[in-house]
Amino acid sequence: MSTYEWFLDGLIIVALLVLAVRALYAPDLFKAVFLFIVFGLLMALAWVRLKAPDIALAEAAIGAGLTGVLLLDAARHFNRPRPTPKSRAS
Amino acid sequence: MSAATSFKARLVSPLSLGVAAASAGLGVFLILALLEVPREAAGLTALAKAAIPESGVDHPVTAVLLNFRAYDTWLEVGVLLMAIMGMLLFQRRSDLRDIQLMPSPEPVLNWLIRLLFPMMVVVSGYLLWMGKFSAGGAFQAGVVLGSAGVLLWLAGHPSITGFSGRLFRFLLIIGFLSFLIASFINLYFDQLILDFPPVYAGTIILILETAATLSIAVTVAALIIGLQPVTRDRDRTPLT
Repeated sequence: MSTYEWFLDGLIIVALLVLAVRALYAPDLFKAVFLFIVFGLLMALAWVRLKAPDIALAEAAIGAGLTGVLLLDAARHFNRPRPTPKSRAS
Repeated sequence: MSAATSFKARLVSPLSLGVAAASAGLGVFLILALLEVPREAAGLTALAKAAIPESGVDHPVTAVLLNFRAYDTWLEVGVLLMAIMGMLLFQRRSDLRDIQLMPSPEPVLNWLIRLLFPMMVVVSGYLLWMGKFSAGGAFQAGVVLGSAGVLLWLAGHPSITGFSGRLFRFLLIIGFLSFLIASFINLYFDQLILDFPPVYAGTIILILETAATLSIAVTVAALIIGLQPVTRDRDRTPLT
């Protein structure tokens, strides 16, 4: 492996670890979900580097895309205040 | 706010310290176990590679997923079916009607959708076809097709929610059903399930993958669309 490849792989690993820790400790649910989506996309890149394009496609589509959308939806449900008759009327 | 502070308070409780210690111990054991793993694993790689000519496809991953371990893929499609059934039960729904969004008045969005939707359908079909000889396959194709459906729904296009309930439910089960039918036919001729004769394997895999793609696409789209509360439509109406 060339120096360039070592540098790229090291960058991916460090970024993955940083993103994972920040996603776990993000105080805001939305922030955590966005960090998780970015983590999924970088993870897909890592799979490509590991010469597993099938898993990379699945990770990008399902891990980052589908799970991200569903988590965003769940986060929205958590953050939304419970609808009361008063708030609905206004 | 209170949720965040109680979360922080829980972080330092004795129980969480115990959990942390246990996790650290488990981590050490896992690392030690990893060191025990022989470098040159025997595995089934050679066996699988030798059998690829009989699998009906050229790509090793597809050969494993759809032929050698088709049973696993079948059950995965079943897991998706269970997920969508759970969602429909919780939302008390049997189809996607009555969650239609208002059509968007934006001409740019409508133009973009008209451009993107056919492209996504083509990409999905291409991914499905690619599975025969390269990275690709039913799951990726299904997710792309499903997101195309979500895109149509977000733009307020009536096609997605206009599905009849019967067609919607048929598309949900067609993936699982085709594996089931293939198993029955196979069992009748061979006394084995999902053990395809090499001559027909390519065709059978393509049929199974196409059915699975349709099921996965509808499941993915329905998981996202079906979770929306029905009232959202009414909330949106005054805006336009």
